[in-house]
Amino acid sequence: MAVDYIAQLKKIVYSYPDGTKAVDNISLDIRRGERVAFLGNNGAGKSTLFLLLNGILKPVSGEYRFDSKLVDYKRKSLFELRKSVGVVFQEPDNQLFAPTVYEELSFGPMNLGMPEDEVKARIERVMQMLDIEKHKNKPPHLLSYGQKKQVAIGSLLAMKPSMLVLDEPTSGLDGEHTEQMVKVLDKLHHDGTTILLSTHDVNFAFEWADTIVLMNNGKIEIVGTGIEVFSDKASLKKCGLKLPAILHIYNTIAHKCKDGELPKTVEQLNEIISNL
Amino acid sequence: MIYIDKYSNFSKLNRLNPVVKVGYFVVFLAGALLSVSMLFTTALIVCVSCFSLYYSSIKPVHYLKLSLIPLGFVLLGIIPILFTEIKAGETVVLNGGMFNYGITHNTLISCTKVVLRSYAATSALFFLILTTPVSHIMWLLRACRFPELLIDLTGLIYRNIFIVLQLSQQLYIAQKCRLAYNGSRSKNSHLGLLLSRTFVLSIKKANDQYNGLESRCYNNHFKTIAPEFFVSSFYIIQLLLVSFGIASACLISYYYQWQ
Repeated sequence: MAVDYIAQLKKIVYSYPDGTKAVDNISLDIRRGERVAFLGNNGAGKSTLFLLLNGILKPVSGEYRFDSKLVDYKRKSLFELRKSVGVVFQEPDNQLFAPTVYEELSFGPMNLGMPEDEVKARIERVMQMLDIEKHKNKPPHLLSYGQKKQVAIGSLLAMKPSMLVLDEPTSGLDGEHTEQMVKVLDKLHHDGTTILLSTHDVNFAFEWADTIVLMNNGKIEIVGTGIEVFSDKASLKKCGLKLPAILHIYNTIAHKCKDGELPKTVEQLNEIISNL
Repeated sequence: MIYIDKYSNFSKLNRLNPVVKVGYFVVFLAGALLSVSMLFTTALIVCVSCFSLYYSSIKPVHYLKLSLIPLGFVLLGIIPILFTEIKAGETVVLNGGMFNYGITHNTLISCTKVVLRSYAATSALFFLILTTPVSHIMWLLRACRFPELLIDLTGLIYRNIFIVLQLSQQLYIAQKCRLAYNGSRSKNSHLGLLLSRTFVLSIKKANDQYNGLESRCYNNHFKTIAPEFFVSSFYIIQLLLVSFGIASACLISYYYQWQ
């Protein structure tokens, strides 16, 4: 059976006006409904790649297909792309402009030309999902960082994108907000949304993602499952990344274990340890 | 300053239809401008301030501090009225000396009236801004068919003011942490650095924010769902009573020629 790809990048190159090659010849296929985590040090090109996925930036060369259609960067094509690809920026203040949270959430769906009743229903659903109903009449600048981040995500979710791209969604969040964020991401994944996110948290990426993309200097070092990527010690060293705690612990007890599958979650690791 | 709009957002009249609140504002403002009596204007200032303190979430101390902001402008404004050419037969309060200019009893009375009137008008404005969030005023402007571009710009400028303030506050703290602003010479250069850095970062922020709009299919129109308000007969009756009270007091002060 043919694989259903939602986004396909072919030899994408993007340079900033000062000549910095932020994305250098990247080719990547993303399956529908997949959870992809992008890892890499600062300046690896993750954020630029995310802006390319939404059509905010236009590549210098290369081909970008979304839902099998070639993105030609004309007005109509960009509208269709942005309707389907929601990007949540790392800094929520960059995304929030409306005077109240409720109006902020309505901005995206209203731009899609939807009837007000449908927009209201979507906003109610999103507010319930993210537990931000109590803030609906507040101006965004009076919210805490974590709350702003939730509103920024909510403003995209109200547009019901088929692919959600999040730039470091858990950075700067406390434990409770992080947990809530992961729950929301899991729910979206369950509903069939393709989720791409960048993070510096190797533990989270390893446990959560179906596919991990390791980036360095605007290039992709390796793409694969968590186990595949974290088994490639050379690439990890090149990108300055450490092993996830689960694999680290497993490696110290590996000689006592029978050959079997590597643990991916804390529960699996616990089971291995209890069977020793 | 960053949290000035917190008062309106947490005011008791937050969800009241802004038309009613603008009604109060217009009545208070009309009272302030039509008043001829200092006694009535003072009473109006006290009355409007009580309304603001009761309905908004501001503390009296903060309200007093806020009231001091326009004082500088008012004081500067009255200087040309206060100092006048002294004519024969006028009661002189302060003589300026050789130029025959000074403060007379009449100019002093006029200045006191101007100051009181300005404060009464400012109190009316404070009532509006302390009970009505900017978003609601924008809603009202939209309902009054003001040009969309003007309203959208107002909204964006309002939002960006807070971003710039927050940015400059963070930079100021970062400077202070490294012992900045010690000595008059360094004060100027550090302030210059703060301003230039805030300017550069603001441009970057504005660019990032535009990207944020673009990513959500922005099509040169800020279309959002309007907030929902309530209208209560209590506030309308109260408004009518206040209007009646102010109109009566104005007429009485005109009739009896109160100063």
